[in-house]
Amino acid sequence: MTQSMRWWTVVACAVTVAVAAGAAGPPAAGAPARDVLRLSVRTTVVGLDPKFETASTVGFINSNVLESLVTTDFDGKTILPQLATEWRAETGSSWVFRLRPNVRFHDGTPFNAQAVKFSLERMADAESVHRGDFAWLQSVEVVDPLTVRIRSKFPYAPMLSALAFYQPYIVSPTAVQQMGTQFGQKPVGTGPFKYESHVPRQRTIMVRNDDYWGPKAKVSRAEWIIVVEENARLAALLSGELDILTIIEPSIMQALATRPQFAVLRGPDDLVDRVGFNARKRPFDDVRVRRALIHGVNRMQMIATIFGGVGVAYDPPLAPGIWGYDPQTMGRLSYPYDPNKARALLAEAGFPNGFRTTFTIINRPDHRQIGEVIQADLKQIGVEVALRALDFATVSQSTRQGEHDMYIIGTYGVGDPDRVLPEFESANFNVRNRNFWADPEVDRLILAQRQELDTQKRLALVRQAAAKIREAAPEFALRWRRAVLAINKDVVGYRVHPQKWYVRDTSVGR
Amino acid sequence: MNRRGGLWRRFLRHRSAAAGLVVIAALAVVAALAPWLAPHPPDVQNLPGRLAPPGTPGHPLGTDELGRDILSRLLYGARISLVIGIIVVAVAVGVGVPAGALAGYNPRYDGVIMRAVDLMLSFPGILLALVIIAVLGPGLGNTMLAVGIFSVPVFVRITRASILSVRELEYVQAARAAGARDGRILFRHMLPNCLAPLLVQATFRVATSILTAASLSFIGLGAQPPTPEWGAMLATGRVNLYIAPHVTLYPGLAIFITVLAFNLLGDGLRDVLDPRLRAAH
Repeated sequence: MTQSMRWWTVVACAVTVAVAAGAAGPPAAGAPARDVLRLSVRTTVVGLDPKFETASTVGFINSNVLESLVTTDFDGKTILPQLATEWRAETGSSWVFRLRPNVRFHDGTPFNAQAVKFSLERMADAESVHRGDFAWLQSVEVVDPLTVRIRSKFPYAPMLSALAFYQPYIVSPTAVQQMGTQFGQKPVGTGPFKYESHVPRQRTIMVRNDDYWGPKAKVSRAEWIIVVEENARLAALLSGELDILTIIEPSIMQALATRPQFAVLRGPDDLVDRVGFNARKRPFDDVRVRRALIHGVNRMQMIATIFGGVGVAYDPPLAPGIWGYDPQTMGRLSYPYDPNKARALLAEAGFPNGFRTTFTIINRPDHRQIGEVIQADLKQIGVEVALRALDFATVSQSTRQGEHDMYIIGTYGVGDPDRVLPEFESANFNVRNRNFWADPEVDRLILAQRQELDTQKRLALVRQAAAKIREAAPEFALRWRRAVLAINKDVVGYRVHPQKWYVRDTSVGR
Repeated sequence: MNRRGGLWRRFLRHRSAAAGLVVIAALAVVAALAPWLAPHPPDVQNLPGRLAPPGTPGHPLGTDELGRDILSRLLYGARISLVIGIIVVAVAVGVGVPAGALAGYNPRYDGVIMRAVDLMLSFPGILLALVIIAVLGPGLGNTMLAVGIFSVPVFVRITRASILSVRELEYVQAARAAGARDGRILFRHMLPNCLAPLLVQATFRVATSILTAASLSFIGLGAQPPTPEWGAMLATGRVNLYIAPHVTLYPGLAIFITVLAFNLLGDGLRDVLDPRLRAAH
């Protein structure tokens, strides 16, 4: 009797707790408007100074606080004015920019031509980690307080695209001089938000800039919280602790599919997943072997399954988001999945029984998964692949030295073609060219398109170079990604941009 | 003979130890017969059928993120884990017992050997293993070597302590007086009397080694894909924890049960073999 009474008490308690937890759990739909937006970031952020940081996440977060002369539209291609209002090319290597008047940095310093000169020269100086990307920069001249002239060392067609990227932000010269090394903790710019605090590896907090020159931000505060573990991020979104998850894995998409309070947003992404061959090593010096291996990988099935249907396969160098891509001629894969053709090509190249090789990947669950699928696919055509899983820094170093056979790397998926073409130039061996494949004619075409200001002529040059690279197949693309984000449906007005995480027009609740 | 029979009976009466032994025996059988028991080859992928839930026809425990049969991978994984446990302990015993015996028997070597052991013990075990793998490179072989090396000090210490405790006993002096050489005294007369604590420790150590090797595989330094190692299976399943918990659950359970079984066996062996505990019963 007493025993069963005790049991009932326990059960009743458990039910009460469960009900209470359930009620407190998911946030009620239509919650009152909140003035704070909380976003989760997956990559560890240490510093924020664009001069010293290479992580794209830093550039994405900075896009709310720092601005550049020009930016891109949500397609990542169309150039739009930002701190410059108009511009024109005087010659192929000299451009004049008219600056936006009456703009002030967050510390009160006026924005002017001097600040532009200071910021751009800072990005190109010997200490800058991006100096290679600004090797074209000859000089920045102050014409008058609201006009600058930017000269390149040679005619440089992609200049606007280079200025619109998330590195050449214009920062307050006074703040840089006063804060010294502390500038990286709280960069000062002209954007709709200003930094309030930053805890490396944990969170970055920004507040609305009430003196912004354009439309003011909708929320007064945006908090960027670093949560690396995918399940922890999902749990935080479900419990209402986070409003937006930037960049999500297919597993999260699937978990959210049955939960109406949450939505998945998609847009073009600036990222592609590519697999390259070391064309300097046998047997990858033979184009038939390279083509055979591409025919041997079932990319469509990979996209449909492990990538959760996100992304499209394409032939390098031009992803569909890059200027110059032509759906007419590039829409069909040159080397589609065809194991029989793959085996025939291998036999023709003198490997009727296949061969053994290695595949260098980063020691991360997503890369290991890709590696295992490619390993299984290539086994079908007789090629035995051993995975070589290393940390990111070692992969970067080792592929630059050319120690690898096959490797996987992520590069750009939108914008100007000159963001990816350097990977196919002989001048970039041991730097950006990790396929160690080059061709004198392709070298010439790439250089010519870089210096050609006539859009139509440049387009023709880009496509000629692309056709030659497709034919030689020094690498293949698994997919051009789509940017996929998860949001709580209480979040209103967020739009996916491939290179910026703009939250100015985003609000929470109604 | 009679004494041994007594031990065996006492062991069987020790229920948890017997249960541990039964589980280990079952695992050994499963591991040996994996190719015949497994419904599928362990690394054949079927991407369209990935993350199938348990109970799917043909896949009683479901499939993983690449559509591989989880039951088959677990069965083959049992082989890997048992082999890891045994090889690691063999390495540790093979190096640790002779070194410890030497240190305990001959004071001339005592200082050198024990300082070397102290040096190794000054690193946390897993850190030492990480350092060794960083030098040798990731892989199952190097993992076993690394875990084996960090298990050596325990065996050195136990052997030395046991040898010290019997060194001055009459039967050793009698053997010496009878003209036996050092090697014969040490290995024929002294070591057999030190076996009990070593056996207990070796059993525990199998459990620890399986767990450590699984941890190293979990962080990607141990078994390399597509090896069906339990720790590596746990790591890849983690990404899909929300939508397919079974991919993580079963390898986790397999590690848990195996480690528990070896620990129960070790506990039982200690209870049965330790003369002081025996008196208390």
